[in-house]
Amino acid sequence: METYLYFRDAANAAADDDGTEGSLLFPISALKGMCMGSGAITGTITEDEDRFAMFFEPAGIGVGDGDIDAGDNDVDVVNIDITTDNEPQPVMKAIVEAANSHPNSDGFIVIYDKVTGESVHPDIEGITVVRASND
Amino acid sequence: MKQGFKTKFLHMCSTATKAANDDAAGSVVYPVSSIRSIGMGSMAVTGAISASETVYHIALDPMSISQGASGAAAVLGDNVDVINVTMTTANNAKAHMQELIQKINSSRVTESGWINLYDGINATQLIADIASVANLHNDNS
Repeated sequence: METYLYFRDAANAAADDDGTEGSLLFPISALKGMCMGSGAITGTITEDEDRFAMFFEPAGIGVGDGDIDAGDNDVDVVNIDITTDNEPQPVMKAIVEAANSHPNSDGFIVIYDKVTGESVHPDIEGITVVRASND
Repeated sequence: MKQGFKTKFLHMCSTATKAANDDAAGSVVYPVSSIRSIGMGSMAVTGAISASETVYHIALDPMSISQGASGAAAVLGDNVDVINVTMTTANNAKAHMQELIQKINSSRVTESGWINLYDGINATQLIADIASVANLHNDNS
């Protein structure tokens, strides 16, 4: 069984209709790491006291050597906004623990769902998703 | 997934003050599957290693660069992320390596998969002999 991480930043179900605010699912194996600060698809980190970045292998870029450009190295990013400044460790740890909650879970881990109010840790107050593509 | 098998992650935080925990020098987390190698000496993101009696490096697949494709920025795209670990005891990397690998491969069901290698803010570490860590974060810009 592989665990999948679920994100949704849409304000309501009717707005669940695109690649950044709509329902988004990544396998845990696509998670490349987490880093304090605000992340861009180029991997650049900007100082931020109440945000950390989750970096994923990009869903919208294939593994072939097609029309090669620098953007092919970009990644997908989910920036997690936290209430407590400069203290991401408990939230990061909760994500890791949830990812390892098998066999006490079905493998579908809600990290943040703005529509239902669910989150993996109460300190999460929002997310921002940025996606790379093969443009 | 086999029962008891965990997707383990390494946490490092090189900063000593909570207020400074706001960028790549602060909390970083890598899946242990990102570890490419651990070796003696201090490593740069280019892979160049400088001799040191008290520093060993953990070379990692970069969290901020896709592995799937080879972009035109070939030099940057081939760089790695690095955690340089400073030991209190000189030439003691073998003991550190063994303890870390034992933790990575431990199958105790009570473990959550979270491995805190070093946290300078909370003064906690996996191995007592770790004096500090330095995180070299690579990106595609």
